[in-house]
Amino acid sequence: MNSNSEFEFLRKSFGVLQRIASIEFDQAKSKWSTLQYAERAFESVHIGRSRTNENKRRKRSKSEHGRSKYRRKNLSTSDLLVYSVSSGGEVVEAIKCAVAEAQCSLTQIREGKHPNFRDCYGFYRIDDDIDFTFEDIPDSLRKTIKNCEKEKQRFIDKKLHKANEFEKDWEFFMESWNNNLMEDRDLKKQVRKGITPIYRQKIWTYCINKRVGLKRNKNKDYYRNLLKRNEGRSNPNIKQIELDLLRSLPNNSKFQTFMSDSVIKLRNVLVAFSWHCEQIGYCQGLNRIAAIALLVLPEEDAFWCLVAIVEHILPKDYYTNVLLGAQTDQKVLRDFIMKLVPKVYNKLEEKRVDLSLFTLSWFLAVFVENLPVETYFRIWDSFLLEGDKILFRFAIAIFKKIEEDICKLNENPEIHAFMRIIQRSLYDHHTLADIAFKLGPFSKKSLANKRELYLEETKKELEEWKKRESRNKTIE
Amino acid sequence: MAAGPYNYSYIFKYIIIGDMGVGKSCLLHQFTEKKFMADCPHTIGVEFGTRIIEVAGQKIKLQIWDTAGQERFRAVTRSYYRGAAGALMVYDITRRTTYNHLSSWLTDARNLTNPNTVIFLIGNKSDLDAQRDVTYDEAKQFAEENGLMFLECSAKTGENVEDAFLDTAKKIYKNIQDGSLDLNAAESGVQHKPSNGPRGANLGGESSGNKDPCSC
Repeated sequence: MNSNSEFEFLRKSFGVLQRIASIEFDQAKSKWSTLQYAERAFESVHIGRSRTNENKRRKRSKSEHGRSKYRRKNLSTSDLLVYSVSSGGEVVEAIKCAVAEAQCSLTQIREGKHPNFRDCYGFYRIDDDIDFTFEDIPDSLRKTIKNCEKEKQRFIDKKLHKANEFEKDWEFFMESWNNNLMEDRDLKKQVRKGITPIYRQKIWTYCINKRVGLKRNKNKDYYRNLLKRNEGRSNPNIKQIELDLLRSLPNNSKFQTFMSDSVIKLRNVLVAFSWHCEQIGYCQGLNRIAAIALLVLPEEDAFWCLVAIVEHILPKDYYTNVLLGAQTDQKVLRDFIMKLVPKVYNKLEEKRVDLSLFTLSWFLAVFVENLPVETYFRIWDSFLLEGDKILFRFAIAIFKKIEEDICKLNENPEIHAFMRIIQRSLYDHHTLADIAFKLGPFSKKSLANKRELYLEETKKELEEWKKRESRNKTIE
Repeated sequence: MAAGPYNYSYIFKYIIIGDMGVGKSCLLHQFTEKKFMADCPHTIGVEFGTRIIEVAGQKIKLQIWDTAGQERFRAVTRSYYRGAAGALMVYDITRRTTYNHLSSWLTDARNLTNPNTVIFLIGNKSDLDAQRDVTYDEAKQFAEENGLMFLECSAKTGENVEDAFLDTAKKIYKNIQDGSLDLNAAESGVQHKPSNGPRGANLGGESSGNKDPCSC
């Protein structure tokens, strides 16, 4: 390559890098990509050079000098270009590699699959709400949704700013906790602030063992034996489990292929559970719960987490053949909404929108895939410690938070569309938690009473369906 | 709050039913967003989609209820059939079991909707012809025997997806035109929207079942 065509090639290459920086991203992302890519291209140039040059030491020091110069002066990509050209012909290959890599990353980023856009649990950081259609939403409420989006950015900034403080607070707490200086009451108060990812495994394990520890200790190899003992036995649930493995957390990098470690573990946990509790076997929703547990806990703990939730925290028959428990809780929630958020209740009654259209999935999957990731992790923290009341607290809090907005809606389809969009925009879990925990005391007894009452009603309805069905069959 | 005049004159409610994993949500996504969603989460309960289409010069808004396919969710999703003007019944051409279950889905669709509900049979995943487990002819015959409209589609390539949704709407519209679908009947699944008049409200599976005359 003569120097002219080389120059032309480099110019084009940096053009690609610049386009990546300027076109594809908002400000924050583009900052990251400009720096990363320019720097990587820059490094490649020098690695390429030092390989071809015998005097490595001299070159390396030059390379370091170059990088610090770049950093100090914050050189633009065109400066880099000039620098690269002046540094000799062997840079072309290195630049080619950097550009190929950059283009590959660009594709990944476009598809939301770039490793640098994952959070600590492997969730892609790309906004999953890009393709929402706003057709159904009245103008006045688009503003609400946009505000929620803005809130998200502010929230993230604020969080980054306060992350240290939050972690220090937890560190301080854990010190006392480890020395047995804290009571459960203190833990509850602390957990209601949300758990820092650093201590999440520890606290979750504590919560789970509090519920299933006795069971576990009686038979330490229970989980392994469950899998071993039943290996090769036919299981009617396996087909359904297989169908859902990759549909559990589609937005998480750890659950993308059948070969991935997490997916193999997820299969194990779900199959083991279907043997453990044959009455339930497998029900959609359990997969999401198990997947979240696996993001925080080792495989065996994740299994016990599922057991703790299904058999100890939630009432009986939540996931059994007609979802009796879960259906009942939708009526219980409706009762709470009627008393605590009457405006929403009246609106939904007036427009004849059934609350459970949105909330059933909240309860069956403990909000996973319904709310933004950090919001449902916050709910999970308290849910594992305090139990099923937390589901109601947050479900009510959500409706309280959007009360005024729902009241502006006039049409049945508008309400459906708004609910679908707004729940994915509830990033501000602090406000939500504030509302949820300020609802006043939630007595176990009143919840139990309500459940008893509505369980009967649900049973009656199901009976009627059955009667109707058998009537239809005889007609046929 | 005053709303402007509607830019459509009818709302049709659709439901999508069928076994789990046949691609109900992917069909909906292909129809509303015109693209294939490879990593589509499964549905718990119900999801919604809408799109405005045009039939015979009339703008029609389709409100589509996409239901969960797992057997035990039928106890919940049954209540969503009410007031559907169209039902898309989906099976997977590569899995015979999903085809074998059609008669049970059809029974639900017949029993839980009104007699004029248009039922459209969709054999999804037509792009996977090499793995085909159900022939076109037998499905066609099943459809004819039961008076269903039928197409094989692919949510992945988009083949025939548009047609399935649109043909259903055309048939419903035709039923309105020739009077066989009474808009004033409860739960017809159709809402007429005069461009600046008051609103009818016989849409939605939640209605109590009382007669609820449309305001048109």
